[in-house]
Amino acid sequence: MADELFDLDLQEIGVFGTPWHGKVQGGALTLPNASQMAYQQPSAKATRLDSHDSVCQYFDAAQAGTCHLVAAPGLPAVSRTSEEQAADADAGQQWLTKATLTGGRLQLYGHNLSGWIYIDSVGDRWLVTCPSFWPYPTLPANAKTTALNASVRLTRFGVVPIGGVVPEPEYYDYPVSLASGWLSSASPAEYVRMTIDAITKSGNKCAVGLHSGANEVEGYIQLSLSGLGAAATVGLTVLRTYAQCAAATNNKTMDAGEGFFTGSAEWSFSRLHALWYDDQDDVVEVRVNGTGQYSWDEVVNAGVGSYSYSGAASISLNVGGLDVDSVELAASVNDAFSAGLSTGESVWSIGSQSFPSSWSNSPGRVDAEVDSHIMSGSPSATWSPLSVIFPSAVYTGANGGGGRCAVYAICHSRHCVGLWTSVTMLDNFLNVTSVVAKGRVVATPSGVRGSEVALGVLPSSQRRRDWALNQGAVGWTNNDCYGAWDPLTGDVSLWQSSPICFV
Amino acid sequence: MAKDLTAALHALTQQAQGQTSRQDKMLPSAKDATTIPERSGASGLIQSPGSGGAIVSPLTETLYTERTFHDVRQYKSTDGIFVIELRPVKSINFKDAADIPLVIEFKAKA
Repeated sequence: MADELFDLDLQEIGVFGTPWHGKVQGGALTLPNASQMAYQQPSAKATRLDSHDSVCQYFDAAQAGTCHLVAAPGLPAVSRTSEEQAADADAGQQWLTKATLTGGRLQLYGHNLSGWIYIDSVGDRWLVTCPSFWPYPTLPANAKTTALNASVRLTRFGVVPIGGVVPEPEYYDYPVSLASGWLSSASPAEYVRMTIDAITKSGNKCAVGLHSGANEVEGYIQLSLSGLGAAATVGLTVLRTYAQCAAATNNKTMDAGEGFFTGSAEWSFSRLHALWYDDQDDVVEVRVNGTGQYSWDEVVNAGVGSYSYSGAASISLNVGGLDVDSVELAASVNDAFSAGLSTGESVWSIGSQSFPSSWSNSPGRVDAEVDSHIMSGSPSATWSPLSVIFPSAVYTGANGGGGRCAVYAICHSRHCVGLWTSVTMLDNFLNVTSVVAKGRVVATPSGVRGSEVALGVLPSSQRRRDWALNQGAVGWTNNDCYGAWDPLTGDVSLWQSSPICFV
Repeated sequence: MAKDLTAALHALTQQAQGQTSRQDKMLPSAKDATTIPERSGASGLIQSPGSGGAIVSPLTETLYTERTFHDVRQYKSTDGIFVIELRPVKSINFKDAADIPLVIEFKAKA
């Protein structure tokens, strides 16, 4: 400890830490005085839990904007004279009593920590990393019958070395494990990856999300720490099972025979979409819930008959047990045909937005069963931040034209979640001609922001994120899906075409 | 002699009558004072401290290890993440050019 002491104190120490806070985009930090300074863009790749110096190889837009708050208890307010305040404002500086860990590599002061900060019971700071974590980052096929073993390392952090002489690291390792069977037998056997999704402000809890290839939450495990860093109690528990993340019901009755096909169905689902910690370090669930019903009646005999379909659904965004947004969908199709001639009509709406009028009074049929898509998501949705909730209600016109409506749950960042509706128009060759997209409110840990935002009718050259989902890993710069929430101010920034983050 | 007496008597008579033979003259103008060059003083050899003698520069610290310190003081960054630990100096021993020991004592921050 002696090496960590300065020898002379004839000069008073003023405030120190970092005064640089604001929005970072394109490697530039915009300060409150509107000036900019070069700043390392927070990473869109997550830190590997099992390797402090490595990152996961997949790109994760939701990681790029994620910002975890660090708040040590009992800090005094920053005292600045009026002259100092004026100088701070002139220089674009802000001295705050809180800090942030940003991006997938948990950046502090513009430097990647690749771990988080635990503030123990006496206020000492410890960098938390995992020298080993297995299985990681993907769960093997036999994960259901495999134990999870990890080592959690607490390294003393934040003591400024004297004269540039870095003291020997002081660290303590704590083994943790989950016994075989920790992964619910109901969990899917498919590829699952794990990322740090939420951290309490003192770092005493960390929620690690298990995400499917379609970026759907398959479960959460939690690392918890208590006590002094040198003699800590470290725990590893299952925070949410697969069944708790994805619940669904689907009751279908059907009667079919020669010349007729009739039935009805009611369905519901509740899907965990994100998870936060509140000021009391309690878990806050962000869920997307849905209920719906539809019925159909088709009678055909020798090319003569009728077809009718009607359905309705309600998709809601629920934060901590309260609905903060909902989208109503309705569909009604009636068609009568004789000798190949159709005189059908259809009426669709999504939210307050009706399908384009050109879709109404057109012959055709609903070419998808809604319920089959509710839990699966888009098979090509291999990237975050979107999960498709109510996709592929595809209407196909007589000549091949038509469109598709969908409700998406979007994670701009891990702490910035909302619903998004879109109606996609297809031409007679099934090419997308336009997308009418509407962002809606976004929920953050500091509240719900915004109202329904019309994003306009986009030309095909500016397709948004839903299009990229179907197209694969191309064209990120044209996807205005990036967004971020600032835990220091509560601000949000959405629909950005390049990664953005608050620091 | 007689002449001298007569002249003396005449002079006394005139003086008594307020008359004098002195002729008035102007005083010469004052000369500018010349500058006095700086000089350093020196006393005799100081035989013992405390006898009222002066300190002779330079002061030289005797031994680093003789320093004494106040209790460790911690300075935290505004966000509480980083800490600088300081051990404020309490006293330093010196000797002046005349090899006289001196001590500087620093106050602790209140």
